[in-house]
Amino acid sequence: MTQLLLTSEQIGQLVAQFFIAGAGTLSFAILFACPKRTLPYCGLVGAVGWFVYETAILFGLEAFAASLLAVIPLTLLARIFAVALKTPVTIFLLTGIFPLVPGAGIYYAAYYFIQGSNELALANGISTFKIAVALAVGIALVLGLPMPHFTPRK
Amino acid sequence: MNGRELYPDEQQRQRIMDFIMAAGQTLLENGAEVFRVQQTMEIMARSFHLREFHVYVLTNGIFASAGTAEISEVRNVPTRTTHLGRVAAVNQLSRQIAAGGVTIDEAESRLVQAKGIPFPKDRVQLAAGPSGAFCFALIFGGTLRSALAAAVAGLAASAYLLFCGRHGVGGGFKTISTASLITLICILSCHLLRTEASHAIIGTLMILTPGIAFTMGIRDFVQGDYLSGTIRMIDALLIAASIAIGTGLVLGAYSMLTGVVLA
Repeated sequence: MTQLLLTSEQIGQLVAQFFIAGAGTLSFAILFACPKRTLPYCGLVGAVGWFVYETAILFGLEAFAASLLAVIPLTLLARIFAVALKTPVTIFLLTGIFPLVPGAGIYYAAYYFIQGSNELALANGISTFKIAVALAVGIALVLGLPMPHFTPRK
Repeated sequence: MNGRELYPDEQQRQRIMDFIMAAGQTLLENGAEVFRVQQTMEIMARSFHLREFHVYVLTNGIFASAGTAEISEVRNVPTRTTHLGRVAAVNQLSRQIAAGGVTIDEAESRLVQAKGIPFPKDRVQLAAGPSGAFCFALIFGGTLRSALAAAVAGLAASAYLLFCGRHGVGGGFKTISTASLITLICILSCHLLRTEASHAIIGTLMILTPGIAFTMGIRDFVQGDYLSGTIRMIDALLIAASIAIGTGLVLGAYSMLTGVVLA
């Protein structure tokens, strides 16, 4: 059983991660040429997703469970911003999910594969696949959710 | 003749069709998912009273017909960039068309405008690359020093990618050489700063990682576009493999030269 309360140091770290993740997402939102007015919201979506992920990891969850847990509020927020700003949900989802996407995992899997460490490649590949499935399930869950109060025109 | 009449004549129909195809192509080229492209094109067709409009969209092509195949068009969309501003602009246009009041003339000129939205200025890109690398190196558990090294490598990588864009260097070679460059600079600058290189390397590689292809693949799968999703996933795998080759080359050479194995 892991502890349920976080130390102040851990909380400080989480807050720092929140802002760094936001800044990182913002940088990529700029690279992908998102409209200027959506930029702060893109950063916020990314920061929230990563914050939930890190918190879940701190509480001892596995990477794929943490990803699933993080992608749900992330997608929800992306949908809310999409409706509020009358912008496709893709813009917030694509940039906001960037910290969570197992880019490093795909890379490690390919790297070990090339290096000939088949077992490590397989282990990384499987954990990446799990995260991918978790993200897909999370996205599907939230995007499939009917939102009667502010139904986006589809 | 404003393109909003209930029964557009033959010439008008052809024009509407061309417009819808161009709009779809713009969306697809700039990183919209298959489902959205299809939906937007159908909405536009309905709003302009183009009857019997059917469209099939793949990651790299659009097939559509209208008026019991009186008009049919195919578009090949081999290149994909990511410019979400253009996607948002075309989406905005489609909303206004659906709301009524936008004539085909206006719609055409608005589409040309949307297509012409420029990419961020060079210096903005040169600033965003390093700051992204810096943040992600920190996020992935790196120290401040390795994040600094990542920022240096990010700057070099952004500059090199801009150069590649100018001179038409593309595909696997671009990814492999950029990954090599990033690894080389990260190793060198981490050596100077006396810190571990792996966090800096991963953080900077985020500029290259197939996050977009991967996420879009997932979204295509979720919507039931399995073929497009597969294309995206293969795309993501090939990019990842290219990155690994580039990084592996440099890391291999490094360990051969110095006898030190880096992760």
